[in-house]
Amino acid sequence: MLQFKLVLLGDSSVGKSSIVHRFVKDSFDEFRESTIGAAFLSQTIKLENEPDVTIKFEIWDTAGQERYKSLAPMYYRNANAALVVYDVTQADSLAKARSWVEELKSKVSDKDLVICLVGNKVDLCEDGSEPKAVEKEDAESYAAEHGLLFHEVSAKSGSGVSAVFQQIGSKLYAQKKDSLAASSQQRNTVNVELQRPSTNDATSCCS
Amino acid sequence: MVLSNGSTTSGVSQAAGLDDSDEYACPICEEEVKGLVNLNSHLDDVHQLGMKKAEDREGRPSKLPNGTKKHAKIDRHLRRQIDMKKDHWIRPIKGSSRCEFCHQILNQENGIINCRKCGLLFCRAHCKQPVKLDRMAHYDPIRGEPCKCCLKCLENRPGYNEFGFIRDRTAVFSKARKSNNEDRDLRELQLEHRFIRLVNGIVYVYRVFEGTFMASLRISAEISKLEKSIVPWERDEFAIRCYICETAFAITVRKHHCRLCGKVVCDNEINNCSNLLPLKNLINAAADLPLKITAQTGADVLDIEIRICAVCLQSLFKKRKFLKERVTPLSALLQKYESLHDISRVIMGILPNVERVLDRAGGIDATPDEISQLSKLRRKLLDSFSMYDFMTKQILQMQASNASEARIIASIKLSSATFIQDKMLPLKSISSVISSKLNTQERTSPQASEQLKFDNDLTIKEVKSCRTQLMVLKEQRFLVQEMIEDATKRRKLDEASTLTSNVNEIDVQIEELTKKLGQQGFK
Repeated sequence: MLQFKLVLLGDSSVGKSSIVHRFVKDSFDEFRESTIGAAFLSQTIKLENEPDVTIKFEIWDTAGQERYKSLAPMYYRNANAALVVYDVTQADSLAKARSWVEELKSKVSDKDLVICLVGNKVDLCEDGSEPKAVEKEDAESYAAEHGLLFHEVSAKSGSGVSAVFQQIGSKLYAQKKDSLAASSQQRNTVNVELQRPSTNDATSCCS
Repeated sequence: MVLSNGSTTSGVSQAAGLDDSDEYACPICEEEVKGLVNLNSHLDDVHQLGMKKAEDREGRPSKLPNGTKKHAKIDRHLRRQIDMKKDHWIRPIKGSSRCEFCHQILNQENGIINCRKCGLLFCRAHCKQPVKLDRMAHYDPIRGEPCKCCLKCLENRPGYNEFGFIRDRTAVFSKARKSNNEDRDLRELQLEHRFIRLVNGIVYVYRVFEGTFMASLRISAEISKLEKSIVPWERDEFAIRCYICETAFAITVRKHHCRLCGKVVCDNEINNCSNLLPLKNLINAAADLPLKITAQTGADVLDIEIRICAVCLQSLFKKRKFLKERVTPLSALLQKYESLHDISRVIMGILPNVERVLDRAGGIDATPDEISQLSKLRRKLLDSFSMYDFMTKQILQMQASNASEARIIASIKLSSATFIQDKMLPLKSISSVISSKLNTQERTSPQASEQLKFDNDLTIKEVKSCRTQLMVLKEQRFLVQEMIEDATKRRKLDEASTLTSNVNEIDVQIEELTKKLGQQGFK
């Protein structure tokens, strides 16, 4: 099993926590309270294109409010992937997302960091209750320019959420595969099976 | 509610030692009365609560006609001398008996007197309290005769209370208050009915006579007929003075009739005894009444003016106006001003504290603790002032919607400027004290000076941002620790280990920040 650290960044109330909860618990709360500090969740997935690979995401869901901005570096520093979220109905949130991308590019030395730009709340535009402030093409071209993955999702309806993590997972796996293959030849590892089934029978004291 | 005896007014208030300069509101009619004595007499006179007591007093035997009174007294005195129980009296021993109270030796001069109740010996000064006793020297407050007793026996008598006599009058007062309120409500209801009839009548008159021959003349005649049918007018020749301001009527002080109560009033502009009020305004003010005003009602009807005296106006519209004003929210400007006022109150609260600490820290032997307290206060004061300044600027940027708002804004500007100038003064002395103290400390310890320099390198803004960072980190540490507990409970040990490493990371950052902040950090 591969473990990857993933961090969510973005302006406040764009729906970072909602995306994570849709992904981890497959639930949606209309009236979610704003996150304090940074929340930690984990989820294991199987890759669709390579069914024998399981990937565990350790997700740090950071608060978008300005007050907690100083916490973010701690969480993106050693991250393998970053989800930069914006709200498709708020043009300002994309500008904020761009600044996050720039910060990531300048502060994180790891060249393998996978950044994914995610436009959330597309359901609002589909049912016509709010106009779309950010066109898909604009964001897509920006993402392509900076080498980011791009998705439009809706945490409310759940559309596109799992695709985001699938794509990130397969990209991370592809990166990891080469280095893993290289290192496994050199290393002489001893496998300690931590989660082996209990060998205790009923006669032993610690049944 | 408990009030001292209603009738024996002066005695009670003196005994209770109450200050007569206070204002009291009557529990029944809420009239303001100065002093307890006046409140009691007000209750007795206006609400007739003292009557019963007065009758009691008349029924007493002491109010006997003069001639028989004296005779009876002598008679009773003699009888008591003979009949009184005396065998419990202690016999005085000449030259060695002492007063039980003041312990002076008793002699002919200061008197040798047995307390009639307990029989002990006292001097004259300490055995003169009249207590009513029967012949067997038992307390008998009704039929007993007043006998000389000591203070102790006076205080031990049944029903004696050091703090005066207390009687609960709450039920009486609330009953009287209720009937008083009912009277007032009835009066109001009556006035409302008259007002409705008057307005509807005027509307009707207009509807019938509008457009007919000589309409204006006939309408005014009909209206004056209507006005007199609603309430019988007081006759002019009986009215000598205005019933509100009591000014005598003359050629210049004309008589007018209130259309709602029919009484004769003047139209003094200063006292506002009565006013001609446009129907339009009255209807607006009493929109809840069932008036037959429709959209078709002409403007000339609404422009009619009715004369209403101040008393009727008060009882009809005061409550309505109050309710209306309570519902409408404050304007944006006033809301801003309220918050500005709150901040100024905070500043005023800090200032005396500052002066006290300044006095102590200004001395030569001020402890570092006091100095740090002073710098804390200074920071607090600075924050409040910047907040105050910010609020003032916000108010000044507001657009005045009318002339009076513009005036308000201008005066806020003026007063806030003087406020800041006035109250900033102590701030200067604080910083001078702090800097002088720091200088002396610098000279004494070179190590401390290094530390201080480091502190001073940070600007206030930097310190602030560092502090928020520190706060956020500490919050986060707490949150992550909770998450660890949760994860361990759920046996997700790999999650817990990730989280623990995060806590360690946070700890490192916290340490860095506290080092950076140095003395400016949290204690």
